[in-house]
Amino acid sequence: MKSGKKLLLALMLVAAASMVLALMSGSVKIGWQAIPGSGLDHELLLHLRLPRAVNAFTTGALLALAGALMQVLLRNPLADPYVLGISGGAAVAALSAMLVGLESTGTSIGAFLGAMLSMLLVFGLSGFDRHSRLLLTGIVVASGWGALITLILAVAPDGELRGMLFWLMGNLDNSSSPYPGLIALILGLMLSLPLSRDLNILARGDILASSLGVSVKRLQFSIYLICALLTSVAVMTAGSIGFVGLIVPHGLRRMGGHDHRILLPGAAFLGGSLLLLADTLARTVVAPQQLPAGAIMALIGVPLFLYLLRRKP
Amino acid sequence: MTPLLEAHQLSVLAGGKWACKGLDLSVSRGERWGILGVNGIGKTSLMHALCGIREIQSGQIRLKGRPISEMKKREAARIVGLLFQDSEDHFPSTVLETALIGRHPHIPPWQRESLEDERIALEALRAVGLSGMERRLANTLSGGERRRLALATLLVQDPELYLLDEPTNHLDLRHQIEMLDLLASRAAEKALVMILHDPNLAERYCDRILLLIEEGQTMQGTKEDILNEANLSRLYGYPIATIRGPHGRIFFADQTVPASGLKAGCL
Repeated sequence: MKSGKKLLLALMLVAAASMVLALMSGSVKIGWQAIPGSGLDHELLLHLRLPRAVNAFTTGALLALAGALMQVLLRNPLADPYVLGISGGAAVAALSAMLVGLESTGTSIGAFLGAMLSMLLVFGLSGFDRHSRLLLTGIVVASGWGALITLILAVAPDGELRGMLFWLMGNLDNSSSPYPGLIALILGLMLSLPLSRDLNILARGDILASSLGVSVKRLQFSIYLICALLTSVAVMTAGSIGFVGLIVPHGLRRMGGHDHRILLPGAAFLGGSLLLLADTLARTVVAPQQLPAGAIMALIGVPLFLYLLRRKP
Repeated sequence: MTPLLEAHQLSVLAGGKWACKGLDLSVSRGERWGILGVNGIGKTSLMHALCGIREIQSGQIRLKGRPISEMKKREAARIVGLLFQDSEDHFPSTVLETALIGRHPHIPPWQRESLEDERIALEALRAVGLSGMERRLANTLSGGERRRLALATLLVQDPELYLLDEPTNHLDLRHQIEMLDLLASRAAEKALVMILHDPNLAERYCDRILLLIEEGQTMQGTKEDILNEANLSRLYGYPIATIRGPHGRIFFADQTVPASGLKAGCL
């Protein structure tokens, strides 16, 4: 078996293991016998832990997949799903929704619309003619959103502040429906996997790709749309969670996943597993208190990434 | 027989200046063209225009008699391939993976590279002297090795017309000759168009020459007609002299004639 397939298989096993761990962990010990049964354990497992675990996994997977795509699109290893001001736009919309007193559904929809709006804005302002302009426009727009976020936090009533801060740090306990994330993940993989071979070539430059028969403009636009969808749904599900989208694709590349046919699904599995593990830790370490999953994610991610970076490829 | 490449009344702008204006060019199988011109005159832009990856201002380009604008990109990529001046690698990939991307236009969108594709890639790596480096990361190679990897990728693409943008970039003397020998050996059933900065390589490896002079003016013809002291001195704005060597003429920048005297004299 080729090394790429081995890597993918290993990542699938890691994903399965982290899912099992997430479902088994918590303040109440639940065994497998609870699955078919009824009663409190069954309720707890299927209606609390499972949706949350699925949300954590899909959010991590969406962000890592979007990060891998965004890095090829911008051909910049520093790109992450939020680089085009996406999380900022989402945050401004979500916090505004909280400010006017909307419930969690309203906040989620606001986040989704804000993310989409920000992407359209950046795209509209920069076009596709220059990568550097797209990236710079995104960074500048993101700074603008950052300023608005600060303003909203400054005028928000004290009662709302804690919720807002948790949203900004990435929050998985608002028990939103797992379906949007699942659907977006499946759709994202179905749409991006057929582009993998083209992406391998695009990673080596626009004009090289063009000379090898890749329709560059169409490919870039497709990646852009897929990224917009993936990131918006991720932000809608869990607020802004940094780091996954940046490090997971890099980590995989250092493990030998250069080919996007391995890298894209691999990023989804690894990103999902990492965030799921982070969230499991976040809700168990100092239970019953819950920590923000985004912060735990970064705490796991930093040493892991530094290790990968120093290791000889 | 239909030429592989025809440009008809082609005008290309490069950086606000005309690289060529109303250029008519026809490249047939077996021909080896050299393009010469000073830095920034638009040689690369013209070359990119010829394979359809750069917008042209007017005129038409045909590949095997069909307008390139009406062709699928993959189809065009099977006819014409380009060796770039420099390669980009922002992300790691192995030498073999890099060479394999040359197969892209030959593999249907939904298929993977076959063992046969891999064999072709290994064969090309062997031809450029990179055997044994297949698993190395391309960005750990030296400048000259990367250049040879880029050539291997082009050999893997196996187009009918090779467009070579400064193929000898980064290569030492021996590898320059080996690379051009390798390309020339394939030229019998293919065609080569190469941008060169050394008239001596043009003298040795080309049979036809296109000079990009200035303001879109061009001059073309057989090597014997075009490569001479007067044309080259005018082209480079510096006195070029020749001596006769055992295997043909040798061009060199003549320090004995002051450049100022040239402007008054030859032109």
